Amino acid sequence: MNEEVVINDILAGNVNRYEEIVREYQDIVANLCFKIGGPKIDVAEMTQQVFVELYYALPRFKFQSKLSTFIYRLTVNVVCKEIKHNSRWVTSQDDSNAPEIASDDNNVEQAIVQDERYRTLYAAIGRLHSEQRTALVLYTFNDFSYNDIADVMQCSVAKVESLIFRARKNLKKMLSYEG
Amino acid sequence: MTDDMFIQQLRELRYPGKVDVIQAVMAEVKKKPLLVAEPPKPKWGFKRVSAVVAACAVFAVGIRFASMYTRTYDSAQIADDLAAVYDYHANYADNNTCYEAYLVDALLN
Repeated sequence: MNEEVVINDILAGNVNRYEEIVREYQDIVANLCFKIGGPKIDVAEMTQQVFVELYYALPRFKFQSKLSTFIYRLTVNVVCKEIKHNSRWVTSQDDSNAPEIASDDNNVEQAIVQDERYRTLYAAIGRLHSEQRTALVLYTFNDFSYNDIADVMQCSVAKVESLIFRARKNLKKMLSYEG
Repeated sequence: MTDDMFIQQLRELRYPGKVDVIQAVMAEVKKKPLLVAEPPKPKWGFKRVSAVVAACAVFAVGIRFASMYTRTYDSAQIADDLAAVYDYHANYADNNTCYEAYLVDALLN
């Protein structure tokens, strides 16, 4: 998909071509929402909101960065706004967005252990400060560089480094407490 | 758990459900047309106004100096005037003592 051509088409009034962008990015956006937003948010609804906001933000997109970076930035903004509006991310017993194991392992016992590990990790990242969580999630998401994360979070690279360092430290501490 | 392990696990986390928001998004965006922003109008900021004022000032000073050192002469009128002076001295004054006439003659030649 040639993004520039598609966007110019949409801006010229061919709304139907927006479907191509949604199809291309909806899974990525949903995953990002899930990781940053946690179990309290409705991932599908949040993804929809991101794409509606993206549509109305398209005239502001000047092709100075990649469309994916623009979408990630918008997703982070939309999810963070939603988190601020709602209460803090509570991960206690809420299984609505229970994480999935990306494993091909057929051993059920091992899968259950792994599943438990993922849930613990998911709960732990939920207790991180939202900025630390966002930086860490982006760091592990699509192998973003510090520069990319700084671009998405609209802060300095030094701040990103500091946020990731503190996030890793806090996460390690939390996970060691939980065994 | 080591640092690398949980980073790796975090990478492997996936949203368990399947998201398909195409229909809903398209229905939503078709409701309201996209407003393509007009190009921004030039702003007459302080710097631009200062530059224009400075340019006008330089132009005015230039005109003033130019008018001080550049005069327009009507050469025919001057020649006529000088000739009149010459005639006056030639007719009414003593040619031998008329220094002005001599000067006029020198100028005209």
